[in-house]
Amino acid sequence: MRWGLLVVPPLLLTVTLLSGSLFIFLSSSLHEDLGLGLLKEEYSLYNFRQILDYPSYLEGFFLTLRLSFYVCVCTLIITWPLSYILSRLPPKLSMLLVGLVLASTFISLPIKALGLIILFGTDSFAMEFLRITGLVDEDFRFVGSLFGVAVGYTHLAIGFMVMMMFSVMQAIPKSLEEAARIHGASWGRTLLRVILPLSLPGTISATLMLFNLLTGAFVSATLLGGGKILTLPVMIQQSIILFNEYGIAAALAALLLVTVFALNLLSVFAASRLTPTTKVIA
Amino acid sequence: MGRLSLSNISKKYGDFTALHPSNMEIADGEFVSLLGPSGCGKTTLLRIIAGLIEPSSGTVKVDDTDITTLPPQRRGVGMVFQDYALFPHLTVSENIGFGLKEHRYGRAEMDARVTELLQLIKLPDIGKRLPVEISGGQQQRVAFARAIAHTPQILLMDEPLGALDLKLREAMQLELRELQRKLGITTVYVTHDQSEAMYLSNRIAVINNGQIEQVGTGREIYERPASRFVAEFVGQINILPAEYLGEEGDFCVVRHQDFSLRAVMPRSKSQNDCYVAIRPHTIGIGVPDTPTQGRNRIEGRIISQVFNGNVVHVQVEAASTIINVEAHPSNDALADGAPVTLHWEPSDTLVLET
Repeated sequence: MRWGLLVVPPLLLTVTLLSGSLFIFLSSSLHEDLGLGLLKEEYSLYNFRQILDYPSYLEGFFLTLRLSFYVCVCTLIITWPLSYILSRLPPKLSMLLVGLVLASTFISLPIKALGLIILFGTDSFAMEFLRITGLVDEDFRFVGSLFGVAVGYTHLAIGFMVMMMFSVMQAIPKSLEEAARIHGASWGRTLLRVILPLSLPGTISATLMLFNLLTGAFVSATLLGGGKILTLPVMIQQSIILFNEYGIAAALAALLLVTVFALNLLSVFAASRLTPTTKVIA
Repeated sequence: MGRLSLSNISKKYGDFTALHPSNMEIADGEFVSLLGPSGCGKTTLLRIIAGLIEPSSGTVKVDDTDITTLPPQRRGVGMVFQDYALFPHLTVSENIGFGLKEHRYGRAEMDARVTELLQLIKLPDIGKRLPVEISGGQQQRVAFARAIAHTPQILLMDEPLGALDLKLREAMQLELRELQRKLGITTVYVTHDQSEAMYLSNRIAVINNGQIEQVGTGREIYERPASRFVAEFVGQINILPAEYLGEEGDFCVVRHQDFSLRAVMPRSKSQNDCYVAIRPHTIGIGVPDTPTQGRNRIEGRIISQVFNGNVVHVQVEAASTIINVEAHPSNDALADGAPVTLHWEPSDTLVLET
């Protein structure tokens, strides 16, 4: 009981910082910009009207959601089987491989982006391959393309996802698979009837967390987008850094926050309807 | 039909031999237990039969059909796991019906079979519940029903009663025995509990260090153990080092210290150093110089006695070794430190080589 009190200071600090900054930017979204980082005194919905009036804001908003969604799908396709296989390897080998994934995940984003820029340089093998297969045309440039940003996002997402999905897969006892095999299911049927449903709740929550992370990601979008791929976080950053317009930046951030929050609630609700066994797995 | 033949089955992991080349024939409808301490290779053997482990050598046959290379789902086996391995996301009925669905049973046929099995395990009303909502004993029965649902030829069980408390375990033993006899399904059962093995099985294979030491009925392995390990693993026994002297009539003669003892003729004899083994309950205990009419006898002195209801566990120091004896509480030779004569039948005296 007395040890429990140790939680109180960090909890207070976290809650204060979070709610304080939330309050500040939510309230500044209700004040019109005067330029040079100054805001009008009186409250208005001017910033939100701006967002609705200028198509580029909404384009950026939908681009962010679309990009995050596609990257989530790609990452799932890659990491679901990968995590399953990792969790079924001999313990020493799987710990080594997961450790490598972990280490690569902690490499800072600019360095990762730089790696990708070199890897997909104009004369690189990867680009040559893309051109030969006809996936891109002659004057395609990796930096500044949506493809580039998506690759960058997926790159950072894979490590994050493997870390979460590995523990989801590891929590499924191997004896369940064996029971399925012995009682008539092929390997594929076992994946479908045992692994897929049992991993579903964990997969949904991991994907949601990834989606949230991606909607707010801007380092990769800035570096690999080369100022051409204007996702919402990039617009927010530009509004603040380039134009000193805190009001509109705050309004964009509020839009993103509320949308993502609503999407999360919706998915959790849908998932709980879809999988009545969520409790059981936990 | 489900006659199971294992020939020359072995399993190696690098330098470690989990199972030495082993042979076994299991008749149709027979209940065979694989008995041994943990890590002896009994589960390895079971999993090889199931197809979950590939053997390093040898063949597994069911009714002359070689199934060694078949994947588990095509072997016609059912298995009850130690942790039951019920699918947590499926109801009890769906769990039991799992194999039926995979074996392409029709909807109506499947429902009928599941209902029949729920009746068989005497739990007709739990079909709609999830595994977490039923007790350990019920889970055990559901796992059994799932294992036999698709009428496999061979039923495999890996310590299925290990997680239950003693009372429930005894009740489940009775039930398992009845169900298996009723269904007449060939069964291989892994356990480390010798009394469970004796109670359930037609025959027992005692396994130690990856080697099948003896296969026989419970009575055979108890009364005529083939090795020192089997003798010590199955029940209590006194083991004394001895020297083999030769044959004498129907028996052989061995010497332990100054005592010459007659014993059952061993199956094979290759060296003179051996062990003589006597079960504690076969030894009589009397005052010194009790007439013993042709029985083996050793003189000793009581060093401790523990009363345990219907028997007294007595330790006797004789010829510098300790011999354990189970005596009747009314025995008037029992007194701490008293000199006694131990005597027993030559037919209860075993000679073991290793």
